[in-house]
Amino acid sequence: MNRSRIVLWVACAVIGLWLIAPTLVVIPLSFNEQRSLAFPPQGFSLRWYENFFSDSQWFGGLLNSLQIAVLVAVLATVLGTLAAYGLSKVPGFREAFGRNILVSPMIIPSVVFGVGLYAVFLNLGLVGTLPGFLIAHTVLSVPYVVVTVGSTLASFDTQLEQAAWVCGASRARAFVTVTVPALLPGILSGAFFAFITSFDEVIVSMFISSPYLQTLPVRMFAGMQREVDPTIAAAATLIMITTTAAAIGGILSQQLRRRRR
Amino acid sequence: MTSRGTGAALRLTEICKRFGSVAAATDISLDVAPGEFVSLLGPSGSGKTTTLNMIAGFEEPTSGRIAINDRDVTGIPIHRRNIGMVFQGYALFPHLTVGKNVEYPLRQHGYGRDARREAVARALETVSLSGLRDRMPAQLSGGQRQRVALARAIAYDPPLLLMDEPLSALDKALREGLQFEIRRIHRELGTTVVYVTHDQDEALALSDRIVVFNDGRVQQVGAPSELYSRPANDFVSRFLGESIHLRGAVRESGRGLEFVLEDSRADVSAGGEISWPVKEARLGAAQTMIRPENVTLAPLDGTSAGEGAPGTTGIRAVVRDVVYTGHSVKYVVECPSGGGVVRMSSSGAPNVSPGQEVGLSWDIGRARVLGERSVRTEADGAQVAGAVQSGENEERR
Amino acid sequence: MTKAGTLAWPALVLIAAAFFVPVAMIIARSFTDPEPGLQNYTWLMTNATAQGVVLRTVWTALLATVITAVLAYPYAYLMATSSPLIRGLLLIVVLLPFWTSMMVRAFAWIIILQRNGLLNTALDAVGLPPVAILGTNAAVLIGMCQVLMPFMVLPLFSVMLGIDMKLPLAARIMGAPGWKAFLGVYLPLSLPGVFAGALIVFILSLGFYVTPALLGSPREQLVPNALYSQVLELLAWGRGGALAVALLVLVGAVFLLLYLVARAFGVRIGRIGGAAL
Repeated sequence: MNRSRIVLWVACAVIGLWLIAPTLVVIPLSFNEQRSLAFPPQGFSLRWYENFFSDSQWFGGLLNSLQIAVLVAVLATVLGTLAAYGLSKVPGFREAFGRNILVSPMIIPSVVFGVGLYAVFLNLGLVGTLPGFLIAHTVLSVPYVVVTVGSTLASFDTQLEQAAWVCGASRARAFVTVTVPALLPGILSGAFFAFITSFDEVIVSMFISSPYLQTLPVRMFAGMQREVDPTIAAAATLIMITTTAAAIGGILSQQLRRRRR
Repeated sequence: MTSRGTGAALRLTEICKRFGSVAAATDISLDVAPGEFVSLLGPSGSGKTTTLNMIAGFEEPTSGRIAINDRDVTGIPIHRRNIGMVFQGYALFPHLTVGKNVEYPLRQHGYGRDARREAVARALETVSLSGLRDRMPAQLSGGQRQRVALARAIAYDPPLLLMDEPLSALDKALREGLQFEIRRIHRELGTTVVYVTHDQDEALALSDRIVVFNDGRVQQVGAPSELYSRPANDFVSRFLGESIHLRGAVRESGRGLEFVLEDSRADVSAGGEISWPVKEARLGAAQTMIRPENVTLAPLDGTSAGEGAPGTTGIRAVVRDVVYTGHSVKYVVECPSGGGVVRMSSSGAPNVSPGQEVGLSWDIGRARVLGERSVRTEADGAQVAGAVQSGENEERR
Repeated sequence: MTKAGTLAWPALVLIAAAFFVPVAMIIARSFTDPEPGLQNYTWLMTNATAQGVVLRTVWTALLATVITAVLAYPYAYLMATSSPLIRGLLLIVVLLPFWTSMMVRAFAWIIILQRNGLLNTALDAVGLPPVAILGTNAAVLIGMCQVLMPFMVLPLFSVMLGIDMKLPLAARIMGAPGWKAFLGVYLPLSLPGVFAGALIVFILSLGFYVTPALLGSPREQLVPNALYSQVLELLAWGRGGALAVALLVLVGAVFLLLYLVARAFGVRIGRIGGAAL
């Protein structure tokens, strides 16, 4: 290995450290004995986790977030999979147009969407309601499903469907018994990413939440703005475990596709 | 012969398929008898695959009718057409085991559990893959995958089996082995088979009849030997095997029609015209086609081959290339009125080198008169109609 | 086949009704609230604070784009030129934080950068004076770039993977020194990746809310934060709408600019869009 290659390696190691390590400082802090966010933490205790699970705002927020994220993952996966599949069957121009529409929530800043949705929800009485959250988060998650399923579809052999039809399966049956299983890696990773998108969402959620229905990230944001409370570190650790698990699930599902070849 | 099912009769009546302004298939008419093995042969883009796709139901014809066992299937969804199909890329379901793949059509057709198990076992046995039932398709070799695809297609005894270039992804040795098996399976099952290929040898080896496609039209329908020895036109003669083509004209003489070679100075024996009587042919510019094995090639050494023997004729030609191919020697020859390929068996092949002048001679009964290539457009329609007619005659015999 | 196309309708209807309608609504508000007219845009054009917010947002986004490009380029290069195993590891290092909560990461930076945080503890241990980064634009950039890295690394990597490594080698064989072969051959070939990454990073930077709100100073607001406080704290829907339109115009302008640049360089915009995700 020559000198410039070593320099490159060192630089990239530092970059990698900057990407991954900072987040990890949250974990030891959540076991702090003191009511302090100073580093290094003192002692070891589970009091902040106890606090988290006994406080209805924190624990309730977690339950809300989980419930919303699971429902959104289902909704967005169904809608996004059908859309990606449908678009793959229409001619080029209309396909590109439809795809651009579906991924625009990824591109347009979510503050703009959030404030607009807030205006609409105020009129419809959807602020701080479960359906409101489901609509908002599904809109934000559908693009991820469209993209992951779309990329799986790009390598999907349409002869498989034809084979199923010839074997006597109707279009709907062929879709369920052949197309969906073949696209499963993409659908699964789309579902995981939709789950994370919803579970992590803050900006739009801040606009449309109310004291009666708050998600965990919104509760955390509020907490970080006013108090020094290691419960936040406990919450952050729980969020991190959840999203990392889901992300690993998503990445593994994509590996599944490669193994099948 | 122990045939399990009975083949279906298939009839295409004047089907056309247009994609926008492009005609992919024009006026395709064809009758396939129950149990017959028919190949659709042609270069890519000739309309053979489009035709197969219309039979399967992947494409709807723009006009015309398709009937399976006298039931009009145009407009009937694919899954109710009761066909089996083997795809070029195998199209095995990657998430199902070999056994489940073969079982899939049986499930769709409502077979009970025991019937399914029995049929899967029988189909896998037919393609000699009984041991691989629990493997995944990804774990199989190309040849094995194609066998599984075959087993899946025949599992529920479809009366009509479609095959879309099933062997084109395999290497030569495997291809020949599977050809043999496809023939055996066809004999055993008695299914009607429509087989698409661009490989002439494959079509010749497998088929009861061959339908030659070009430019979206049927060029000729007939048994392999008929197509080879009596091609209807220039395209068929060139697409199926090697040949010599010579330009000339058909004219009327005192005793009837005769073919006159364009450049008669090429005559080996004398300076006069070379002509011979022919039956049915259109007057005017034409060409004649002779298959390589019907031509004798000899060095010019006074006693030329064309001379003497009654019913034969001959010309001079220049050898352009000599290729040794084992059992035979291939000569590429050229003369003022045309040229092509001559083959002599290795044992009797004269030793000539490129550039040398040789004499070619042939039995006039073996020379076939074809329409001139350049005047094809209108003449073709008539020929196609004739070809289809002759195909039907064949079948009735 | 057109029947299958209708499967896309539910999602399209959802996005149209629940995404484009609200966005259109807030645009409309900017012209009608509190009364019909252009007063909100007059405010945006003349108010020094509002202008400061817009300029600061553009400036921050530009800085974030340049910083991530500079950091992501060597990283992507290392990925593209390593063995599959190393490549997979480097990819996981980039992808894992991609899906880690933005909120959690902002919180982590607070812990590190605050007055008695990890950074100052470390500086103190080696005898250096403490620094006050939290609450400055620098802290915002540190946090933002960390979030944005994957969006720059991935398109760069996918373009670099397609570059034939024999080309720079050929340049070297023909006598060009290493750096010249790199600048003259490799860099131009990787530019589509840089464009694609820059496009997505710049656009995403414009919309950051959480990181500036938690790591930055309330006196140095960015457009999203200003928008939030205008609407939710001051109930100035019209001004919020005008800020939203400003964001949309900026996003649109970036797309247009990139389209023109891409056309000048002969790169198809479709590929850039595709590489972006």
